Amino acid sequence: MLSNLVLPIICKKYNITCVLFSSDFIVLEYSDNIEELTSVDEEIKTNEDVRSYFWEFVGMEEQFEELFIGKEKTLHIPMVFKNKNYFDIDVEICEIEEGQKCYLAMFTKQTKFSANYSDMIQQINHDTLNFENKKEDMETNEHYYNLINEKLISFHVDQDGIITEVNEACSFFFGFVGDEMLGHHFSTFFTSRESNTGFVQGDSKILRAVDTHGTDVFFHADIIPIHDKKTICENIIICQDITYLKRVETELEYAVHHDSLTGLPNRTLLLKRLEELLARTKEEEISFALCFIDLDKFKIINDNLGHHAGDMLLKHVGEELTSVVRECDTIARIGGDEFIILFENLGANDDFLPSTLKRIEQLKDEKPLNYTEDIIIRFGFSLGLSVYPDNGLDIKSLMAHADKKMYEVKKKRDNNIR
Amino acid sequence: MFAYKVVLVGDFGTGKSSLVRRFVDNTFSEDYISSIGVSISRKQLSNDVSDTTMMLWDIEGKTDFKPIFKQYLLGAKAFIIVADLTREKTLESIKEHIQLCQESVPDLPICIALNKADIKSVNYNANELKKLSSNIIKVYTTSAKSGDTVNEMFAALNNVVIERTV
Repeated sequence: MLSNLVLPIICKKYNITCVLFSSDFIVLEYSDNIEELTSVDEEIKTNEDVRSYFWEFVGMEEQFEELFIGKEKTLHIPMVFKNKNYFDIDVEICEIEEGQKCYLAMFTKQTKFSANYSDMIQQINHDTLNFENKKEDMETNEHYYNLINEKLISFHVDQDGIITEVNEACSFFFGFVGDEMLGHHFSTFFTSRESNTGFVQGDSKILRAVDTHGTDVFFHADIIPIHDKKTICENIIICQDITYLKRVETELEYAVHHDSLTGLPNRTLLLKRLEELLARTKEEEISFALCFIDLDKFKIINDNLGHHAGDMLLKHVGEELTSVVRECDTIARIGGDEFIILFENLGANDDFLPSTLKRIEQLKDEKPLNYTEDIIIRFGFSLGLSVYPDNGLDIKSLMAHADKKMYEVKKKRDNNIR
Repeated sequence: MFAYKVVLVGDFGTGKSSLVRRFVDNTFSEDYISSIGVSISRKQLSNDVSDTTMMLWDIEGKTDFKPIFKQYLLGAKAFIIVADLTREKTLESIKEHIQLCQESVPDLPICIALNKADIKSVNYNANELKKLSSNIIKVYTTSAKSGDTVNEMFAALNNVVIERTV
């Protein structure tokens, strides 16, 4: 039948494989080169359902029906990949005997053309995919750039420091929605320790501003000049929030000036305050006193009860001394078991100093350290006092006098005990 | 056994062939080989109701210079529209693919596969995608590479087709 319909010589020349099947999809006949289409383990047989071998016909029953009734003349499925080759499939109706219609499926192998076409399309798609991925990456970078930009405050100022442009982050920081900042001098919004007259190109500044919550925020401002031909017409100021660095700086400053165990000022801070006081004496008549305190027998406490007990006692003494003095006075721990109290603003006939020293002496009996439920640590100390200007006019002589007095007291007590 | 046709539709390079390979052979390749024309695979499935054969039409993806050939969609019982989560443009094309599918064979179940979920993702709104058509049964985020949600999606689609047909 098939040889009557399609000349075998034409099939061979044009790489066409044919299958003839009935209206109920039963294979009637196929061309000799059918192995081009089917795999070894699926050898095509007559009287079987053509859809078992040609999956492309599954679901196409409606389209076949349209062919059968003459609604369509051909069913075309291009470039079906089978057995490593591409085939164009054309299905038509043919009459094998008078009045008996069946389907003729012709599979045209796209050899050289399909290989070239396939390579070309694959190359184009490959290149396009690479391009699109790169483009997505660029867009992603832009997205991140914008995210950074949302956080980074920047504004433009002219040569006189007048704001000419602000970014969204800048407006948002100050709680503005429009161009309220434009036309104002930058110092209306930012303060600086340095001159507020303007920005020097290529320089940087530390700026300070208050946000909408009333919080002080510090910025490191980079100044980038914009050149207009040969002259500089504006500067872009890019502000990086360095508030956390300021906090670190404050912490470091505290650590430098305070004793880590008791939290009291240390020798460095005490000397700084003394220097400030002595500087004031050149301009005004003031009086102040230094009180040296040295704990008695502290080493014995450390040796008998351990260093923790010693540390707790030092903290305790520091706290008790703090409770006795005024806020304007300074209690410093200057070494192992030594404290110095700086009493400021002493009046000429003031009773403050004697009464305070008396209260400090009372701490010995009244405020022992309840170290544990069972251990109560009693402590004693020796005091030495020097008063400016009576006992010295500089730090060295004032401290030497107080130290001497303290050791005299200590020596006297030790002699009394013996 | 009931056999039916499912067509995977989408832009080129979205991973349609990879999804089919993962589902049919449980394999994956990092190499990108652009599909030309159509490649048909078969997978036997069964659920509580029926044993079925799913014929998977892995068709050439849409490019700027070549639209999807409508003839491939004829006779389908369901569609899977595949987009690449790393390329926004492929997500934007989903609407157009839905329209094409519905014009070719109306009222068929559609699954949306947002593929390549194993790598960086662009922003998307699954609820908005679901609203694109009442025929969408679910929006899946899939990874042909790891296999995540692939079998689940095909199984769900098979159940819907059986429910509507058998």
